[in-house]
Amino acid sequence: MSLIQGMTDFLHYDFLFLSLIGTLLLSLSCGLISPLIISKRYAFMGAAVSHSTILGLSIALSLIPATDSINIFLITLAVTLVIVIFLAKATFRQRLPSDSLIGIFFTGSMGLGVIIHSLFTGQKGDLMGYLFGNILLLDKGDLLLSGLLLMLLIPIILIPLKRWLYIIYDEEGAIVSGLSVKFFHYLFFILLTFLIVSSLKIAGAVLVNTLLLVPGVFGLRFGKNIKEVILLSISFSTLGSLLGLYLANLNNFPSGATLAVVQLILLLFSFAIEKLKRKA
Amino acid sequence: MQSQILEAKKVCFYYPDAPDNLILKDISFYVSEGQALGILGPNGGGKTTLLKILVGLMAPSNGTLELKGKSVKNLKELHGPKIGYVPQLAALNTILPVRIKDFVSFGKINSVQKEQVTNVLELVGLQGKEDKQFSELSGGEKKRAQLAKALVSGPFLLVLDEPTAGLDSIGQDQLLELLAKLRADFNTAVIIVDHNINQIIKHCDKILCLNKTSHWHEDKDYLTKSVLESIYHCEFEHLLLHEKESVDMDKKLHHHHFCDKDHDEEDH
Repeated sequence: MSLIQGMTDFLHYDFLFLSLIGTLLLSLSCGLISPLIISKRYAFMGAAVSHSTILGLSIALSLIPATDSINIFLITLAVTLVIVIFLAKATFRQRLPSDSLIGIFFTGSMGLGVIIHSLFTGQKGDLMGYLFGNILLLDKGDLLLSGLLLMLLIPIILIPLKRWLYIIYDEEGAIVSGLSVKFFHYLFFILLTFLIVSSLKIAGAVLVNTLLLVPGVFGLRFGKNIKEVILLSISFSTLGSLLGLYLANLNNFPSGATLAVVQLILLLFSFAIEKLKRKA
Repeated sequence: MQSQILEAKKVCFYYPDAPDNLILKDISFYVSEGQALGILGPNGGGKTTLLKILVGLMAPSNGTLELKGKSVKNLKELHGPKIGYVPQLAALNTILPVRIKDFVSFGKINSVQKEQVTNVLELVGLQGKEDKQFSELSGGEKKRAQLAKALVSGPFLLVLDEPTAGLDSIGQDQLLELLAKLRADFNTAVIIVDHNINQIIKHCDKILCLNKTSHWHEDKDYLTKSVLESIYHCEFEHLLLHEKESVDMDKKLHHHHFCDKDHDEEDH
């Protein structure tokens, strides 16, 4: 396949066009929230939420056909939200470190999901596709959900941005100032769950973490102020994801894996350039 | 007469899963307008726990707090613009790049005006540094920026957790003199938790010495070396204390509160 054809394919084939729009929407959402995940030190939490989706997915796939994307999304979201509320509670100003509890909890829920899938779902749904992403599963309903999520995410993050920053910077100071830190804590977990559940077909439960983390690391490394951090994170996320999708189509690679590897290579490349510039 | 800003009455604290392990026991004191109360004590003595109770981050297990004569029923009554809190620098998460003017404006999150930020930065001696990143400041400047953030809402009580930690003696003096100026100019009450005994004795009006269930509180003039040694369980040299032997013993007995026994037993 020629390099040009690798691009024009996205206009000629419906499923590729859907994947292009879906990837664009997902990368914008991930780029926006990623610096907050990194600075809140919630990288492990993102992994916990994404792995917890497996239980919801298994229940959804055992009940309804995999083609009913809206209902698959809603059931997965509902089950994952129940798990995530427990995770949010376990991590809000607790005396004991909650890492181990989170680790046990999400692997347990994932294991239960795999058992339910093997018992009730059988060949009805491709769980592997949701673990590592499969753009062939995308349909217009998924794009609608991703678009709605992005429309919600932009005002929820950007309008009270100062409050988010204060809570990240000085949580106790924010509480003493009268900010409802608990509300923002739970809101962040709910947004993260929406984002991860909506990204399962493109990136997959395992690989979505790269999209949630790498853009934020890039933004925080090169941004001089918070506006620059967010803009760099979104730009990196969008360019990296679209390049990953293009290369996946060009080489017939799995989409989620290619997106993750391309973003990682771009990040390492940017660090190398920065180091060379410093030496020069 | 100066009115009372914050009063603690027989405040106790224990974790619900270990009710027999008292962290704080029957702590009572008050701080009035323009006064400075220094809280001293060894590590693990309950200073930070008490401070967190005073700013509404933790609820006391027993006892009450009164803010301007009104009993605090809910921790949220302690939150808002009334109390300016300056946590330890280590408590800040400085991963995000934040400019000084943005950092200070956190202190009045709903509606801060540019002039308020400029004025408060001038007050703490950070004028002209509005656009610098918080992480670029020196240790002393960071403390001043924290103080500016706490002051921007115009609080009547400032609570500072180890403000002199990491500062050299000049930096410590400058910061504590700035606090003295704030007390004099704005009648702000100040509560300081610190390990720097001499600086606390020098700059505070009242002292609370705390070590788990033992505590002592009174005007600093009544603080003796033996009180400190019994609280810290060690001997001290080079303390900035007056000779206490000349103090009127009757007055001393009436005003001192040295608590390391069960109050109920004492009462009986």
